[in-house]
Amino acid sequence: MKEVPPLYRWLLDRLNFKAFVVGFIAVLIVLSITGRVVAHHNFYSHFQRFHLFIEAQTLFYPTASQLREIVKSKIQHQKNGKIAVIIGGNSVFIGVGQSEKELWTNKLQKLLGKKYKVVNLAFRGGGIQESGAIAAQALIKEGYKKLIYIANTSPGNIGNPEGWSVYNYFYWDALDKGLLKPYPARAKYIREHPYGPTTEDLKLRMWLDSLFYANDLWTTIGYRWVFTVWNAILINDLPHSTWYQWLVPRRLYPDIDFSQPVPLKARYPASEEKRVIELIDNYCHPMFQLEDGLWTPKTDFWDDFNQKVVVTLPDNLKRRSLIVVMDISPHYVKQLDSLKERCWNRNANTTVRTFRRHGYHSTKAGFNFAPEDYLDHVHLVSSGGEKLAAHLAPQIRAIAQELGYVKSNQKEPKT
Amino acid sequence: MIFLSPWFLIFIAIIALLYWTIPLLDNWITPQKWIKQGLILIASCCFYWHCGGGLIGILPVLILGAITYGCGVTQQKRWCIAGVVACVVTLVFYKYTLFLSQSLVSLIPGLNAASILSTVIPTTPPLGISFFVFEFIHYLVDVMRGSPAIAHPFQFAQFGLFFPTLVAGPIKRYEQFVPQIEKLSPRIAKADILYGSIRIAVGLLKKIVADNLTIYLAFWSDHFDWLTTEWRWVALGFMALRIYLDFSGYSDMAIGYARWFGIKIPENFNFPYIATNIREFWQRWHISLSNWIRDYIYIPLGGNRHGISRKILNALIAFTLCGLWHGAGWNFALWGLYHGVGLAISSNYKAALGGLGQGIHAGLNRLPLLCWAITLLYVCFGWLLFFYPLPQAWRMAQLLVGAT
Repeated sequence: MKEVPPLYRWLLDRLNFKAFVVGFIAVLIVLSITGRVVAHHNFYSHFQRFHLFIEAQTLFYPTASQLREIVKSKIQHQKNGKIAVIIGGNSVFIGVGQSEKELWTNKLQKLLGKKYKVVNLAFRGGGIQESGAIAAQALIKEGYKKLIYIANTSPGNIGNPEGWSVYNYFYWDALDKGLLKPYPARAKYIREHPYGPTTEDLKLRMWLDSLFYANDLWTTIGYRWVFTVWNAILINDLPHSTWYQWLVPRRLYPDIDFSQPVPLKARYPASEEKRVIELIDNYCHPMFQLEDGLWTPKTDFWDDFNQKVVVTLPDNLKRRSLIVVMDISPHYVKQLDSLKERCWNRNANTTVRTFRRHGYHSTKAGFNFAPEDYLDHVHLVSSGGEKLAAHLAPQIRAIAQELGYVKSNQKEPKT
Repeated sequence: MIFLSPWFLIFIAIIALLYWTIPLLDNWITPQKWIKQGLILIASCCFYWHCGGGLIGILPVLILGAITYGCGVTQQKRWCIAGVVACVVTLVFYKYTLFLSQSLVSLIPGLNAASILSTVIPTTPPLGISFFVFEFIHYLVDVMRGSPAIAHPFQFAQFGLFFPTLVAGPIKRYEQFVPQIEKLSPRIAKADILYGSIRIAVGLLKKIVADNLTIYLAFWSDHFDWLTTEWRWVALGFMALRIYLDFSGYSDMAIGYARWFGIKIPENFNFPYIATNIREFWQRWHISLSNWIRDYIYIPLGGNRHGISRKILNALIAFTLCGLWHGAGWNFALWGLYHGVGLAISSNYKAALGGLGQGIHAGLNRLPLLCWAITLLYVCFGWLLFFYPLPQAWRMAQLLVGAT
């Protein structure tokens, strides 16, 4: 064969075409099968939460199958055993501000007792429709119906039904792999309101992955044996990191989030005041307008919000869900003038009522916490997590009773 | 990167399988050559339509292609020159007008050049414009010089839109490409598929390493002063490695995909970092571009036919334009000029310095390792100009030599 560089000439002289084709197809099949097999096993040892080194910021992307398997292994694959309490939502619920030992979900577990198993599947920047919700839907489809899903949101905030830009891949991953029951209303809404041009690329990618299960295989290899994508966070956030740190399997990375307490003075820097107050303002004005001194909801916004609330989760998950509308730190709330504070509260109440109207359970949290309970304007430290757990535990038990998971005359566990 | 997008993977799988199936239908389909050519053309159009932004994206290349074909088929000098002018004007309009206008307007204090001009001047050039314009110019100049024009418009379209080389080259020569299209083999060339697959796999591997280096450099270039001196030099080496792997990886994949269809396109890289002088570097780096610059800018300017001074000037102009071709920015022009200066020095110091030059030359001939090290160092420092604005490149260079 002419015009072939010598290096390739050497290789071509030794390769047989048929052997190459058969080998290529065989390897593809073997890897795909391996991917499917590992997708049905939980490889996350001693899982507590998706800390910094096993999530998107460090270029590690867990799959929908893996989320499902984590919960199944925690409840020991028993469909009628423990009640799975699946936590979704964002950095507030993942416990930013709390070390692994102080995690609010561990406190919730203690309060709920052995009949329940709390599994924290929240992600930084996650939404109520992502991660935990996807896992919950996948489990319901498999017959694991004794579950309660809890996620947090901020007032008036829901996002698109398939999720936000970082973790919306969970929805398409689960959909293409058949982990979700068909929900025509949601599919119709998503078709009519495409997220953006990158969604088409994402959809194609997830469809291809549903054929080859490459992501499941890759994340398993990356978690267990070797990871080959460099990331700056590995250098900055890990003390004593080496130049080959990025190759180390992710299971060996510790959960270093907030292992050291942050002093109260450092939590509310003056430079943040203006930004946070503007943030709160932005929560109000798209959603409410001032008429005769009263905040009235803007119809356009809340009609859209209502529509999204209806289609975001299927009905069989809605009644198992508790959506928690979180307050910001009272350090900032008390700086609002009474008008803005009323708007903020009105927003939170309207959000809760809207979720309840459409079949969810919903509650507010944080509205009676202290500034010391917060790490910054939204995230909770250990004491705040404790209060959150104490606030939610009775509601979870009430939902469990309502759904028939427990009998109403059963006593609450001693704490 | 388009070749790694899920759309392209599905696209190439379908097109390649269809193409390889055609010879199996020998008893039912004749002539196969037309069907294969048609498939390549349709695939190229679909590729450009999807990746180039639909009708708005494909129109400029179609119109310019039609003009080029029309001018070329006349085989008359004035029409070929008109076609070249149309190509150059198109390239300048889409790629450089905004940049040049911003540079001029930014001289007026208080005006936000970017926001004003971006409303009237295109901010995104058509996909692959730098490559297909150069191929059109090459075609017209060669026709003007006496080479036969491409008679059939579909063959010209295949030359202009051939999807493996459309986005990032190599820059093809029609005299080598068109005969291959005309004589597409009726059989499945197993050796071509095998070789193509190997090239694609090698390209993929290079891209994976290059992408890692890109993430690494994206972080450390903003924090260059955090690194120790030793690690700064490592980062410089990574810069050189990254662009080589990125670009040559893409070329490998382009060559591989073209081979799947039985078409050979020119090699673009030949271990450039083993070069022992700048001239040799450019004979090994982006070979299709450097050959184009030589044949259509340097030689028409006079080349080395009018004395040393003119030779140096021609080289500086050619390389500055080569730099600007890479991107609409003064740092690219500076990078090109930097290489022009390097080439001028390495090619002419012997004649310019007389006896001393002869002595240096003789000494360097005995120390090829030193020549290699100097060349590599020169090229690596050049990458600072290529990737970063001048103030940042200068600062990084200072930090490399230990300045605080």
